[in-house]
Amino acid sequence: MISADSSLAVVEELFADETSSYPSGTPRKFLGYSRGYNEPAPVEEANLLNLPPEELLIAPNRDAVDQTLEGRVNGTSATLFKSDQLVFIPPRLSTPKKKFRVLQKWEGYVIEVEQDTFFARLVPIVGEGPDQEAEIYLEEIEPDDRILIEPGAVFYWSIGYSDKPAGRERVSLIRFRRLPTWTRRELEIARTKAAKLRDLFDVE
Amino acid sequence: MQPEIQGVSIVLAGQFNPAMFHPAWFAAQGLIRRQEAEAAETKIVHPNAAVFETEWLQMRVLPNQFHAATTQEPYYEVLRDLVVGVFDLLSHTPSRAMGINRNFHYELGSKEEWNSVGDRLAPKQDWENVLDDPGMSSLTIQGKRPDNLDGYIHVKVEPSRRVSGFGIYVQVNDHYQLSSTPETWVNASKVVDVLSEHWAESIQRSLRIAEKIAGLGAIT
Repeated sequence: MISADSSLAVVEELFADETSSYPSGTPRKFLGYSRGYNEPAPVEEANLLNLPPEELLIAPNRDAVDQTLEGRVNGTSATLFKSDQLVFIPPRLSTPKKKFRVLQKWEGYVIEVEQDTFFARLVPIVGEGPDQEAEIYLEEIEPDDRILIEPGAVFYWSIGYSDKPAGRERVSLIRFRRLPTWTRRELEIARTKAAKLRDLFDVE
Repeated sequence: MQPEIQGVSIVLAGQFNPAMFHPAWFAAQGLIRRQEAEAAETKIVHPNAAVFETEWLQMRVLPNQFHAATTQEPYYEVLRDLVVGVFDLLSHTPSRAMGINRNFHYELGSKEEWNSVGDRLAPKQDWENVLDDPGMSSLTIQGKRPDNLDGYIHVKVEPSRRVSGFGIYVQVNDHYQLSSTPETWVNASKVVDVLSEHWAESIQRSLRIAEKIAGLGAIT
């Protein structure tokens, strides 16, 4: 028999952060009066596939609380899956090793495209400052994104520090918005609407 | 106060077909770069689960949960656009609820500050008579949504496992109940509407909450 507490420990073990320097399943320290580390919670060897669902209760009001909570991407919470989802344990996501600290981020709108550059209006998302206009070299844009550059296109420009195991770099990153390509059906609908408007305004 | 680590995720509760969520599908739809799809680390794509990662994206789809996340701040809006793109294409996907979640790990300056956060959030006086050396290991507070949408906001505070010093972890679950009851479904175009209209507000609100909590320990 596995208790609710040890079930929690098993779940923690399965989804533990790879870079955590503390034993998984072990609450690190308590906030408040703290005398140090707690003893590791006992982790029983258990086959989760065979556990009755009711024994995997890991939070008292989990149904209401956790249905849109994320898994252990970079968090610490053990509440992850409903017990009835634990018939299959998907591979866990790895803990990201790269950090990017944004100093300034803008949302940009392409105004005009020239041969080697494009002009854009920049609206700050992170950081202070007024809207600005900028001329940006096409070479700054990833080749895969250049096809997206046209008047009205939206992009995000971040400037900051990237911390990697090899050290800190100052980075400027531009990423164009990608939304779904038009389907044939959507194009047909758009053409039909355009034709109706043309007729309405009697445009040749 | 700047968090040491942060991330954002968008989680949907609904009915999904994991087998179709392959990096190549995202590239074919123009939702990620072709090179990103080719370089993606695909852990599994199967009728029961799809899990893959790119340099900035972590994707996991189960039959009843869609989960897309990034821990790189430059990609927050890119993540939103990706999810909008997916459910613009799959607009008839049965959906029930959505969470815009943010995670923050802050490093506090000292043990006193760190303990002070726990003492402010969960005073120990009432626990001292029944527990020896009580301390806060996890706390969740629920609040009403400040807009006219259904749902709630959950804030969870715990000691951080990712920050090596005296770190706290704050998670904000901005939960949108899309269907009128947990047993019913709506189509995913509602997801697109909520993400398009409420994203910026949600992101800023979560940051304000996290900064407020991280600042509770400040010794004056």
